Amino acid sequence: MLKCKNINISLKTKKLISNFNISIYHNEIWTLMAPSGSGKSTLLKYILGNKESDFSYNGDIYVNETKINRRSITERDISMIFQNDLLFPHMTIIQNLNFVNKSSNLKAIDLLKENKLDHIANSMPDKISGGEKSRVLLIRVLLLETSVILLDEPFNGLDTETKFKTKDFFNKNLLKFNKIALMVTHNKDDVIDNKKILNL
Amino acid sequence: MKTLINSILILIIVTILCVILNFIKKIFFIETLFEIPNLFYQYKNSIKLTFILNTSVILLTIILGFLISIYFFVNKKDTILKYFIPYPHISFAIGILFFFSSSGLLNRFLNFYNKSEIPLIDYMSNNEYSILYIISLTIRELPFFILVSIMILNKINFLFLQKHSENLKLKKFNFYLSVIFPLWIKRMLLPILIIISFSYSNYEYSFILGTQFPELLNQELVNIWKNEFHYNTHNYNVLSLFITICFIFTYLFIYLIFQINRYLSIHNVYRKLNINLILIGKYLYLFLIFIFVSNFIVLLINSLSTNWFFPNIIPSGFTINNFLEIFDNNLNLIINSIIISIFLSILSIIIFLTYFQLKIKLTSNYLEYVLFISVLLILIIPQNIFLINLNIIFNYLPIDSELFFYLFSLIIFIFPYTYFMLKEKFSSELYKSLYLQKENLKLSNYKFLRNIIYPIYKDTIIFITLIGFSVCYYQFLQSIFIGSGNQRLFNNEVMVLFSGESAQLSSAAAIINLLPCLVLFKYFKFNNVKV
Amino acid sequence: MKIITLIIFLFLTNNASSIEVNFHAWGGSNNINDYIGNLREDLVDYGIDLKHTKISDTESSVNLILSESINKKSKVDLIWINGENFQKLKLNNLLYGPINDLNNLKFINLEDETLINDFGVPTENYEIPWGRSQFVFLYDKELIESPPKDIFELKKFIIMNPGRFTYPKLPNFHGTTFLKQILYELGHYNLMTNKFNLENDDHKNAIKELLNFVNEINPYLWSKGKRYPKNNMEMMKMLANREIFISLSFNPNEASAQIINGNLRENTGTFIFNNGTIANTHYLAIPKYSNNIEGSLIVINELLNPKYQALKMNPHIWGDPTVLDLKKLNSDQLSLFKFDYQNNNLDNNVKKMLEPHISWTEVIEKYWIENFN
Repeated sequence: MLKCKNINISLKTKKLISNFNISIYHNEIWTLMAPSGSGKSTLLKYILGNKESDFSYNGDIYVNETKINRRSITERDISMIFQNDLLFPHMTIIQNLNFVNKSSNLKAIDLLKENKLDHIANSMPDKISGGEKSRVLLIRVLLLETSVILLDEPFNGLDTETKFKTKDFFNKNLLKFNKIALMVTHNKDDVIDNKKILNL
Repeated sequence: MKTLINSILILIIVTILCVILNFIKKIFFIETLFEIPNLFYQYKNSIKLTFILNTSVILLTIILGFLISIYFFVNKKDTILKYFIPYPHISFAIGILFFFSSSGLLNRFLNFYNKSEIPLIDYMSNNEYSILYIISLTIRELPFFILVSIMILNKINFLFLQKHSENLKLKKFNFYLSVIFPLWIKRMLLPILIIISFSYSNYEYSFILGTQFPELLNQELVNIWKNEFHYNTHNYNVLSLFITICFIFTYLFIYLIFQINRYLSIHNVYRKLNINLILIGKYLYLFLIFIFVSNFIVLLINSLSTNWFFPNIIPSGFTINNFLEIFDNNLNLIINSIIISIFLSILSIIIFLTYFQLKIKLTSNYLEYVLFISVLLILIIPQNIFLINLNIIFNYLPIDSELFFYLFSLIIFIFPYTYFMLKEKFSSELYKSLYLQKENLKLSNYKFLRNIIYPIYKDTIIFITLIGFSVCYYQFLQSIFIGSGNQRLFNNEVMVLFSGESAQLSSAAAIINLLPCLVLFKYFKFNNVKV
Repeated sequence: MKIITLIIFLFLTNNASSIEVNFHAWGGSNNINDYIGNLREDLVDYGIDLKHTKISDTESSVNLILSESINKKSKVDLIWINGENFQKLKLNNLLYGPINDLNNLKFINLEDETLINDFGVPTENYEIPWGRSQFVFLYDKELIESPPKDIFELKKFIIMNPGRFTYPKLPNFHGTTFLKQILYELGHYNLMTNKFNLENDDHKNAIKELLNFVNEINPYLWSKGKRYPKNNMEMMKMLANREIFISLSFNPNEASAQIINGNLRENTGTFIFNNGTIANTHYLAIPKYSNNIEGSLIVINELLNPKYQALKMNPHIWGDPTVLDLKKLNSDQLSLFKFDYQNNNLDNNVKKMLEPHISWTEVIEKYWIENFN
């Protein structure tokens, strides 16, 4: 379970997020709706553990009932897909995936095969389409085996048809691996689970 | 690991600051001040000569450097110029001597019709203001200067300005002197400072070609160090004060010249003139290449000859024994020098890579400022003054390992290059997002450096290692000022051989000294440098 | 992490299994470096690692010993030394000795005045003789038919051939010796065995005469006396290229040795003045605070071995006359000392003059530097 309690974020004197509270259980995909520039990416990064120097933060974060405020990014059981995230440009897709794989029972190539992506395994990141890239990014965080996955506008820049397929892919896989997922977006079309929407 | 390396870094910063404080303390020591009038009288001629020679070197470097780099920039050719960037000072000075001295190759060609058995009386260095000293010091520094200059021309958007000036019907000469030059010189201040600093601290040129009547201040400083420093430090303190003052005056003088140029361009004095600077740049460039190539050739022939007495243009016999003899005696030293240089240049990169990782997490910028200033000071303070003060600091430390001090004094001069070149790359947004990604994907430091940073920044890192290697490999003054002279690089050995009996052996040593960097810089592309 | 610590550790601790002897000796001559290199290989059998620190002037090593003596340490274990440098160390009581019980000392005649007096300072076995030197002039036989027989003929030569003679810049010892030689030629030989005294009018006049003489030849020197070579090696290269016609050396066999090496033309000859020239001896000494006195003693003993003394005298190797008393050698050892000189040398019986009292060296250097620098 991911629990955020009374999170406040401000940029100098301007308050961006005030008293943000949420609890997310396994197998849930929550969406946080907010317009651009409202500090939603900053909030996700704070949950991940990345503080930027101009902002001031307070509030507690719990994962599975443990308070993790003092832990570094590396120690937290959380991983994230950033907005416009990058695959390392000098490695092929499969190399990118194997590179971060610490899991003993998951194999990158199997995940690609299951999702019919094995044809791009040996392509370079700049040779694949936007939809494929989003899916590879998800596979990459799945391989990390963290309980919590944060998604920052993961479907940005995809056309409607691809977005629909990709959303389906995300939904299927996040549920299959029993993840706690929190997504932020400004676009209503991006929402995966219509019942779990929170407006900022 | 990270803490270890960062504590090393902090230790180094502290040492540098101590060195600087020590220097200031020594100079303003009250008893030293009393010595100033006495010593000023004693070194009057040296001061005058040092100031005149070094100022002319800097002026010439700036003028030639500007002309050649605009020629080079307009023509964009990847030429043999890159091989001259690491050309060792000692080899260059020895080559210049064998080419220009009165029994040198040039004079032998001039003597071809004359058929005299006896060379002319020394004509090039036979005056107080040694022309050879000025020429060689200027030309040796030019390739580095041109390299930096081209990067800066790239930054000031030369082509854009050119298009606009053509539109405004500016003559080319006017455009170069009133538009490009002021913009260019403003950004060249640091390289100019580095060259001033070098000309005030070099020992090789004044030893091999320099005037000895009177000797230059940097030479006198070495003499004092060797002969009386251990009993009497006043003379040293005053002398380093003189060097510092001369240094500042040179800088002010150069600054004055720029102001005059600014005044002239504002008042449109250049408008009527029309001189083809590109063409002049071209001939100067060819002259530069000629000097370097002739330097290499004269060293090569000399090193391959059994003997080569005046007036023979071709040696009486050829042999490779000179090389074999050098390898026989110095192979260990050569390998040691190479290993030390590789080790230190890589260590320096590792230290700064971890520093830049740390920097992202730092909330305040103080460490960054202090580091920046101390690294800058290493470049600007003349090396001889820096090293003597470093030695004094070492004496206070409880460690007693000469090798450690020697390595320390070597690596400290690689830092500025590593720092400035890495800084540009590792302050970028790309690096920040890579670092965030590393944390997000829970990668270890080692894996991050090896599999991400190294492949992505491979070119930069190799380039910096090359520069670091050649900087370290050609350090010279350490073996004079640090320790008992037991620790040395092959570069120092060349000097010992030069003051020995055989011109052939010293040429062979000079050629061998050239090789490692020539080989490495083969893979270096002049036009691709975007540091 | 561990690897780096290990590397740093290895760098910091130079734990060699053999005894390391740091030998500070002039390193400008390849022959001499080879000679010491050969010795180094032989000494491995004794468990000694001889490190030749190639210095360009002894004075800086002496200063190093002086400065380190404050901490009762010395990085120098063995040093090639004579004259004022020896005096400096001996006065400061920084030399190990007296060294009396070396095996090979038996070959040396310790009664010989030229060996036990170093510039008028008794050695008292604080330094051990290593080789002999005599001040000689090298000249180009094709350019000079009959070399000068005394200083006045040399002066005539200098004025007739402007720019073709010079001497190393003082305080280089070749330069100083040349000036001493002028003083001897001006007739002050006996005067100079005594300590220089500023109140003594004879002494003052001698210096005045010397300065006048140097002033007279100065405008006719190479570079009009505005520049001087750094050492005699630089002069030798100039002689080979005929930039100058006469050079100086302290090794009577220099010409042969350098012709064999191809550094001098074959028609190079050696001459001295009719009244003879200054001869002296160079020595080996051990700093008091050296860590490896035992090892250094073994090295000295080995250098006095007839085998190494013969190699030192061999014009193909070094060419310095030996300090051994040839009468004390057996016939096998004696046969090592037969060499083929190629007419470029002096015969061994030329007149030798002793070095003046050491105080004169300082005075000459001081006045020269004041007047000509």
